[in-house]
Amino acid sequence: MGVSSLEHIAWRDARRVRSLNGFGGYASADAFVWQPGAVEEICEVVSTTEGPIVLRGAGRSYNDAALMPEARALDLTTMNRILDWDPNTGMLLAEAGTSLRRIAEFALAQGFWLPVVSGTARTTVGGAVASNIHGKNNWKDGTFADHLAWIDVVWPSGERERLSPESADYWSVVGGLGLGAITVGAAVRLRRVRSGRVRVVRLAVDGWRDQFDSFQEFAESADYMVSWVDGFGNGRGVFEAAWHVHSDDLASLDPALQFAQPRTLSHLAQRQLKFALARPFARALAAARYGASRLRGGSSYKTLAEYHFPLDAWTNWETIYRPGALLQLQMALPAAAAKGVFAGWLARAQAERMEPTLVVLKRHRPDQATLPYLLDGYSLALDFRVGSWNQGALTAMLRTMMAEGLEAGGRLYFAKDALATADMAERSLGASAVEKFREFLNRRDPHRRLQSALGHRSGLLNGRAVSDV
Amino acid sequence: MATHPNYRYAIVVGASSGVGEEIVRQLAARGTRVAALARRKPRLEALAERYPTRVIPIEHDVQCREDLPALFTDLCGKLGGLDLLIYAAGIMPEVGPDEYDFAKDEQTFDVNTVAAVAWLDLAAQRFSGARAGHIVVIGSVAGDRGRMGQPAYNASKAALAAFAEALRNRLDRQGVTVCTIKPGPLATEMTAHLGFRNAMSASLAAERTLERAHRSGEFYLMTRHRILFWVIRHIPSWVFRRLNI
Repeated sequence: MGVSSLEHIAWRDARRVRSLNGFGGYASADAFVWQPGAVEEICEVVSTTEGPIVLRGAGRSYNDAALMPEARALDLTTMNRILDWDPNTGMLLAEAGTSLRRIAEFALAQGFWLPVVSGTARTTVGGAVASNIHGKNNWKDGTFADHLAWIDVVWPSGERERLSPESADYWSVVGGLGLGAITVGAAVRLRRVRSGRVRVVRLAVDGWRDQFDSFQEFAESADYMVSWVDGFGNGRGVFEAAWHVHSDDLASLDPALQFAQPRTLSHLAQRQLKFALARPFARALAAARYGASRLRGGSSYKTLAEYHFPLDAWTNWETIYRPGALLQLQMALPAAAAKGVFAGWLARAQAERMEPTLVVLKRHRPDQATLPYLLDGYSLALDFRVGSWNQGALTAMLRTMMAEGLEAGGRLYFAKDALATADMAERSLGASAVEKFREFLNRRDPHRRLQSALGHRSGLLNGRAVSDV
Repeated sequence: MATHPNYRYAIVVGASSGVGEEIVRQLAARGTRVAALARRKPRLEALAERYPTRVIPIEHDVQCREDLPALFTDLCGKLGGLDLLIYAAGIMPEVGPDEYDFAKDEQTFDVNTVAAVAWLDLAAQRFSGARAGHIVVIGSVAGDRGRMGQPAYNASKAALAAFAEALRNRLDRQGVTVCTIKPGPLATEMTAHLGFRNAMSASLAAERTLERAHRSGEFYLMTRHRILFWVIRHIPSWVFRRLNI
């Protein structure tokens, strides 16, 4: 034909503009949304058009990772098919827009489960690759990218390539925050399970030392570990270890049992639940949660979905943060420094009367990506409600905490971070990692077609080798 | 201090004098990035010099509409987004009591109404897709009745108000607000030849406009006007034509 078959589509038509948010609503930007139907269309568009493109899946990053003002937003959620499945090896090939929930439902029916999942099943395979997500089993099973046989990518030149973990660019694409390559599919090695349930042991822990001791104690045996920390306390909380159930339990593999129909918070409930975030109520609720676990610790059974994705039971739980937004700080700290830094953070938040609404502690091991965010140690994730009334003070406090974390050798998680400057990003990643990543970008995306507000903020998109005429 | 949302990106059409200029100044002072459009670019430069990172001066004649969609997209790109469009361009040529000059009247309609519709359509299309955004038109109390002094001006503002009302009804359920401001007599260049007494200053009008910019509805800027023009709107036509207002 000679001309593009897509020429009839006016990409920068005002009708395509959508107001896009990061999860929790802290970051937002308008973009021209484009939902491709096939990989060929992506190849054609990237090679025949100009201008910045931002990649977007479910939009579950807490920040500006899937946002770029006035760019074309390549929304891959319409490409959500499971393309291939081998029950003998457990290998599942899915398009990038496939949600973890869709894979989990499919896998359970076959007697399998995902090796690594995020705290919500709404995330997509593409997002899981771009952020190299981790779960409650990170210290022993690593990140999402550790369990892929290959990923299929489209380079900004329009060429396609299948990358295995042995190929040079694989570890730059995974964890690459959607820069440099468009991941269009991934082959995940699923794990066989005999039951759709986990046994959960819950322990009340009364301080930071107790927290870390619990992680040490269960690290050998447990399949999953996570701990909730009371934002108003001095490290007390509820530690949970969980194990897959190894007896045959076919009924528990029913996806309908695992994924109950999620409910939506009504406007009234949203308004009433806001009180739960107000300091006195939040303090009382946290104390009650801790107290209840002291009285009734012990062991219980949960379905895999219920255990991994507790908040997915509500479609819009994050709206209780409105009219403000949800802002999260998550950093991984080396094991030796973690206790001092985390205790300091909570003490600071309490002194400034800006306690986090939710605090979660996890154990980690280093990840292999070019842009690493994990290390041998612990991560603490703190949720805050941010609004016009506290934005200045809260972000200043969080930046101070980030500086303390970086000082202690910690790392930022760029699926969550909404505040880091380019200096902070470089300190977190290491200058050589940034240089290596820019070299990858210069080779694969010299014109920086793939952009994001995060990519600009963190300075990763800098250092362009060629300039556009 | 006025309470209103923090607009991040705004386009102000008709920004070189009067309320438009004041609106640009006040938005920029509060941190909004503003594309300020007017025919007289030199007049915009002062504002752009004062707020070099926030005010983007653009020379634009609202009567030249050929590449308007491209200009609109380009402006949104330069700003990094769009939350607010304010159409503040307007003319009121002097019309003698026995003057029936189509050229003058046509231009009045063209600037006050036709060009406004062109901009509002673009903004409405974008905002309805984004399911967010605020549109403000500077109408006039003069649009409330057809009066003997300014037939074309009255009719152009009346048409603008009706168009904005229709947009408001269309866009309300999509989370987009359309606000019609009806200033009374203002002390601006446009009205200098009318010699108003007790006219509201442009800066106060701009401040009150911005306070209302995120709301849907028609707004007078003074309680006195709201009452007075309620009465004027309800005077029967056969009485109105005998009055000298």
